[in-house]
Amino acid sequence: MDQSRQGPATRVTLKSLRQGLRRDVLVAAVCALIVLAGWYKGLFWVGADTDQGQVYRIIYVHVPVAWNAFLWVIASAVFAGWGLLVREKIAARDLSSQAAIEVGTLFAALSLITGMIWGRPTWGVWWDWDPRLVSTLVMFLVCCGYHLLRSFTPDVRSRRVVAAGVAILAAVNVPLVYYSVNIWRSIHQPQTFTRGQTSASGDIVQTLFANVVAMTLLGYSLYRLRRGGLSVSLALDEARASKE
Amino acid sequence: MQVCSGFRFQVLTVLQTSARSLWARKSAWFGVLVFGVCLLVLFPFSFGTDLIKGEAVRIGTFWMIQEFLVALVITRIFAHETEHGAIELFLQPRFSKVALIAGKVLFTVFQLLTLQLPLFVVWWALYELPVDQTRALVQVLLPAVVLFDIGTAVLGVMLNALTARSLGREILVPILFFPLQIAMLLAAVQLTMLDPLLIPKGGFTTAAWWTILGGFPVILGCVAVLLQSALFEE
Repeated sequence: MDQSRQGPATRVTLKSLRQGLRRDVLVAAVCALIVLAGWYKGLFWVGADTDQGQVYRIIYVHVPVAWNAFLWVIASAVFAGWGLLVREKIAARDLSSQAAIEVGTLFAALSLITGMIWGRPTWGVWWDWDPRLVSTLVMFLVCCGYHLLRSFTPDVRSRRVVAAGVAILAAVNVPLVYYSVNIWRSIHQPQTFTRGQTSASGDIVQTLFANVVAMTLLGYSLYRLRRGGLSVSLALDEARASKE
Repeated sequence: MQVCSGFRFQVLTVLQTSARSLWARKSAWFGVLVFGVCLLVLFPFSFGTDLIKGEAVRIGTFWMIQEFLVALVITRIFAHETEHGAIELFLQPRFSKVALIAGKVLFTVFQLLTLQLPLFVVWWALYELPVDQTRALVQVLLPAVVLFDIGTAVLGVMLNALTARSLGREILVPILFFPLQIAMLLAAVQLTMLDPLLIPKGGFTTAAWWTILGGFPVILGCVAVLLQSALFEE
């Protein structure tokens, strides 16, 4: 590559990436405000639950983060599969898959934490060996395994391929987590929404839906942010490598 | 080369190479067996010698020891070939990757069964399983162990191939393996609980547990075939 042309080109790319990152930070901040609005609605607009009282309000955080955990782990597998199918695009799809599973890992951790916070007043314990809890923890551990695998695989080309394989395997586990409350007798409540039916009242459903949408938007903005960060990191690495 | 002709022949070549490595290193196989027996003896002390006679602990111990054996076996699925350069032969473009997967899965199942059979006899003797229950248990245990081994082998082969170019494989393989294998282990344990009072009730019937135990190897096998080119890159 011509050395004289390489510098400005890299600068232009980095400049555009930085601009993109700034825009993504702004979008994430707006999405965070939407999530806060959703929580406000859940805390002050909807009435208390007849069985659980005020405690149930954590549903507006717990359910959206759990849904997003599933969503981003599956999204990571989709990007990974896409990268393996179209090898010319594997570098870009790998970044997308990594960013998606990182967001998925974050949401899986939040799902576990919020679930434990909900479990303490309702079940009397922080943790129970309940199928939904255990299967969510297993999903989180597989995601952690994915990150370990990446850091333990020094060759970039191999890393992209093996990480894609593990991302696909991680998604195999998702249906098991989702249906665990139906498969086993569980202290965790069963699915609230099943085939057009719901066990919740209209205002709860409406607020919950709004919170799921808001959290998904926040998840997407976090994904964009992380994806941009990874692109910048890759561009810097390539620039350093070409200089050497 | 001869090895590159015919799928069945290729599978047999993988089986033959793997078997030679196993029987050439009988001490490794025997070491795993002794390790399993040691665990069988040690577990009553960790649980308490009275508690071990209980049905749940007894069958749980059996499967717990299987997990230790599995961990030792799956981390070395491609070890011999890698150490002696035979893996280069299998990675030739003309050598079917599906044949390599099938051969390794079949061999791993065989290897696990050769360890599980003597261990079952020791477990049966040490844990005082009543004779009348033994027949009922064997009828369930045999197909459950075979399906469990197939699923375990497919997952093990995939993860070994995926982590072949990674550092710290000894840590990585179990970290990835156990969380992904948990559904098969759970199904196997549930199916081999002889006392119906111990089986956690839920929406799942025995047939559904069998579906999980049989379905996972099929799903993982399909994933392995789909990812074959990614699994065995040069």
